[in-house]
Amino acid sequence: MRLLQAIRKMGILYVCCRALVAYLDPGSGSLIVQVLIAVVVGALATLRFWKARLLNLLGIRQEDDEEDADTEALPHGD
Amino acid sequence: MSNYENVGGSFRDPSGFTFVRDGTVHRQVNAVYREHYNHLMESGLYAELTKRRLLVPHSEVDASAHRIPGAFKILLPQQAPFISYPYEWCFSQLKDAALATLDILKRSLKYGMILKDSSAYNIQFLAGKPTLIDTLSFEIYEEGAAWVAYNQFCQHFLAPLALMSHKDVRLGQLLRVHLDGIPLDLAASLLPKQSYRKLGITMHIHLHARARSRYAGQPVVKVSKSGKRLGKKAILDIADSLRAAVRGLRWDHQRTSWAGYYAGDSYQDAGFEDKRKLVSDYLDIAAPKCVWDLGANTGVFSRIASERGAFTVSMDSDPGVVEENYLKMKARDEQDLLPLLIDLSNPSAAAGWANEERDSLGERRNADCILALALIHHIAMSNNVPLRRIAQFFAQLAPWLIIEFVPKHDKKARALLISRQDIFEDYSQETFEAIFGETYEVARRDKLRDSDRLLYLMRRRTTSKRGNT
Repeated sequence: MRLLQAIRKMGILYVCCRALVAYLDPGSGSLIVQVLIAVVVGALATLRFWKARLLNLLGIRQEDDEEDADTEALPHGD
Repeated sequence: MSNYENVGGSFRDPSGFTFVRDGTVHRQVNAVYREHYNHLMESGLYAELTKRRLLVPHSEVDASAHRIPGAFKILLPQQAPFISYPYEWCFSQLKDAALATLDILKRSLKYGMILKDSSAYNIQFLAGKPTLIDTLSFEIYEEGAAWVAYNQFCQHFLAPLALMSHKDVRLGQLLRVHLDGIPLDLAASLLPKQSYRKLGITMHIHLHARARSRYAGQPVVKVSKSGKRLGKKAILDIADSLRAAVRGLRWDHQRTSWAGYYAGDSYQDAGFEDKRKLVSDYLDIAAPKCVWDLGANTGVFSRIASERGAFTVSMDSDPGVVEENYLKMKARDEQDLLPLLIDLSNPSAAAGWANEERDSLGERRNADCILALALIHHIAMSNNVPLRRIAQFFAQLAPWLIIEFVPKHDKKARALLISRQDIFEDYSQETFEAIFGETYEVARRDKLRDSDRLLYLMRRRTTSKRGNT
């Protein structure tokens, strides 16, 4: 919870639902927690990226995730 | 004259609504949604999603012919043969519906749109594949905006899946009570401590639940001082994280009481083959377009119907056998089969606002033929339902009935009475035939080889033989 408060105080929030057709109440907590999760997940993705590059550099091949075959052409690295 | 009827569960979204006209479901797009609808259709998103069978395809019909105020477009979507609900799905059905929703979210962002809702009720299994049926679920994405439907996704999909996986598969039935998904504080309190070992569950359920409680009723709209925003990449990261969390949830379905039923001693091989042959013959006579197989187990007999081209809803109350049935259906790409988790002793009730948002099982009846194989002894003896009530219930559902009578001295029937008093004096072949004869005419009757079980093909009488007595 302290982490959440810290993020809020840092003023990096720009979370809102401006679209005219939105009809769900997203909930303040759900909006705030997305910022935190985005930070954590983004950091982990960066770590994974550099880990993969390092392993690649060392000539160590990582096993592909076979279940990812169905996500061909997705806009984001899975 | 055309007959219009609004669909009970379609009123919350101002973008439009669904209605039934002359028995066909239509969707109205309201003028307020014009910009978003045009973007969906013109950006290439509609084409991509329908090509991948992630979104129901539709055609536009003449809106002026309908004379409905506020209409921008009237859509005629591909019709779903049967509407099922998340509390009627097995674990993997809910999981696949969740993954389809996230797939749609990510593809939407590629085309500059986002899902404005992520209700599990917007997903239906069309030709075996989880498909979004709400064409109005998209809105144009504005850079910097968070995902409004994030909480709904967690409540409708992640929370029930986590509870089913980490605690008990039967907790999926909480969705019957909580129509807008399982509240996250409830899910967090029910999940075991081991669930914290999963980062996705910790973040999207435990932390999320605490954040919702902490910031309930507080405004959060703040313009960034530093210029940083929650951008598209952040939403994609969240979608990836949710996807990993969902995929990481598993349930071993082999442990339930009915798993392996056919592998045991329930049927002698010759009798089983005989039964398959007779059911095939009966189906050829009845020639149904739609079959409901009640107590279907893993769907062995459902497949005899579906392989004949009859759309078959394969219902059972055991989560394990429904799971096995679904996984088999998926592996074989069987498009005319829909396995569902239905307890006949307590079928889904009408629910939601004015009891009209979700239909009861009976309100969704569309079968021409009911299969009730190795079932009646369970209903009559395990649930103490009188034979006459069973006959009346079946007769309400469909005109044709293929039913197996299991006599009391059958091994499986005896097993039901092993620990209780036999109060079923009237349970006999003679009484069964007399009582069902009040409602049905018997078209065929055959004795199954290697047992005293009997198979009947019955046709509902146009007027009950009992009359008004």
